[in-house]
Amino acid sequence: MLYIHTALPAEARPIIDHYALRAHDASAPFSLYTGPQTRLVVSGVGKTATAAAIAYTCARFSDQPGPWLNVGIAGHKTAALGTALWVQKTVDTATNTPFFPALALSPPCAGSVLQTVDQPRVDYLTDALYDMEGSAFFQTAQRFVAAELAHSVKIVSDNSEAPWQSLNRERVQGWINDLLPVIERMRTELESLAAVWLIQQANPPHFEGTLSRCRFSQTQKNRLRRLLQQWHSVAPDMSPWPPDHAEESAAGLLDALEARLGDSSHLPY
Amino acid sequence: MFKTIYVEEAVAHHPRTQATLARFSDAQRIPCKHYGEVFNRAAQNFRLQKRQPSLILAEKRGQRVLPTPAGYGIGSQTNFYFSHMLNCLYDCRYCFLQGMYRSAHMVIFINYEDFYEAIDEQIEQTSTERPYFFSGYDCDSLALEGITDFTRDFLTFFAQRPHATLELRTKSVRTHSLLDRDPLDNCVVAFSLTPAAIADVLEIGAPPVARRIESLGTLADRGWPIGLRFDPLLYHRNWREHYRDLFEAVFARLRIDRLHSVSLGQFRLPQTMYKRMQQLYPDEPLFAWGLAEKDGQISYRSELAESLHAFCRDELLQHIDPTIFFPCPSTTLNDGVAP
Repeated sequence: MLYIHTALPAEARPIIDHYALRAHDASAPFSLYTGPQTRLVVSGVGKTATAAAIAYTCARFSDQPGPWLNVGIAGHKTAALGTALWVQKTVDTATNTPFFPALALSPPCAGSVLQTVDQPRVDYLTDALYDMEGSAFFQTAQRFVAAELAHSVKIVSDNSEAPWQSLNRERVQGWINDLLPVIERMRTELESLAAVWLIQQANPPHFEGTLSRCRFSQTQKNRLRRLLQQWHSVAPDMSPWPPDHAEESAAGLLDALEARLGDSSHLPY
Repeated sequence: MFKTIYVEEAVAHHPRTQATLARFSDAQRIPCKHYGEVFNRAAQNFRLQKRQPSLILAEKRGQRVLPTPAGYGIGSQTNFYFSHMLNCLYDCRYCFLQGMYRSAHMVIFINYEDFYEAIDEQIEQTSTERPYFFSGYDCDSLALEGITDFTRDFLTFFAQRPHATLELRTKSVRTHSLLDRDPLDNCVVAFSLTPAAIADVLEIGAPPVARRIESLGTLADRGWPIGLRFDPLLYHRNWREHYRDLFEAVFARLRIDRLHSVSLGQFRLPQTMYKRMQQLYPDEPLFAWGLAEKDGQISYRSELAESLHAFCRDELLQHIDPTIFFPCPSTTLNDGVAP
């Protein structure tokens, strides 16, 4: 499941159409759209709205975590209108704090620094992208997924020759449409990475079933999770609990599992 | 090979930086102030980054040469290590690097001249005994030679310092930088070796063991001092047969008079690193069987460690002189000291 964040409805529309997404819940505080492999949230403009929208979406779909992609228009001092650029680094201009997205994929197109500003501006001080959401997107998304699973791709919508005041919905939608092949490339790589990450996050087989047998403290749950992971890695086709086992306490179950795990029949390789 | 290269602004104009960037003219270049802005940040995931690591060109600041932990050495009491790189081209499942760093990007410290200065300072302070300098602790000494020119430059440096010894630790067969020059008596080329049956599974991306044996044999034939590093010893099915076969293959090819040292090391990890590695690879059997914690270290249970060590020691001592045998410290063998 890929999660996409946009600030504006006009940025979202081509993606909604491309993936045939449907409105998820009219009562949600943000516009949410969903499909079999993609969910999209429209936050509104700015860092606070962005952080809230991502946190809300992650909490709402906490049972289906996945990679995040921020898609949107951005200003740039010199780049031509319609140029696709992935974000190599963000700088929150309010604090001058740099952040480098963690890279584990091939750059999907040319890259750029992204300056996240609090107010729209026309002075384009440095040769970088300008938006109003990017730094908040990264800071929030990587609290919910591995840092490598949060990325941003922008399309240049205004520059020093063509200021943002001349933007309209049709042009924005046209540019985002042009960005779809880049989004698809990133989607493929992000989903491949996410599959590995999900293995790391998953509870091992028999975990929930064992928890239901008796009361485990949090420390015992952690130990059980680790022991069952280990069991599954050395004996993936065997139940950790033989039919005749009689342990009834959490401590007894854990000790018995640890003892069985050490049996020489499970020696790997 | 590298599609993205991060470059510290302070070294952007260094000739080694420029030469490296020229080798990867298609890679995207991203400037940064300090490699720590990119490397080893919170929420990063070593296993994910290992699928497409980036290169980072940086300056090594602070202490560049450090004393080795007590007990580690190959004949001298004065031992140091230094790291011109962080991380490795290969992806060995037992490697502590994946537990030590959250990031799999490869950092090259290009200020070799500062390493030279730090090494010279240690040599000057070590007047009574031959100091050893170990490279390849946080990386493979040879694997990225085509990019780093590490051995070309450091061998030139050590050639002028015959009273100090350099160890290159490697699994690489990229040995042309050594074969293209006269051997140095004060440079030990130390190969890490594991039985092929298990290396094929756990040493992902590393050259096959048979090629490593051929490389070390060729280097010995040319006169290079050779080190053999059976570290970590791995307990697995048919381990006796596999280790015996490995030793026989090595000593059938190696000119024994060029053998400098042999070391054995237990599979051992600080508990925090072990936990991180197990979280990265929850389905890895290596992290699941036969291990126990003692004094904050995870290693094989004592009886397994003892049998593995004793067998390999006894087998090796049929081939080598005991004076060149250097077992590594262990928390699971007789009071931490391997016999």
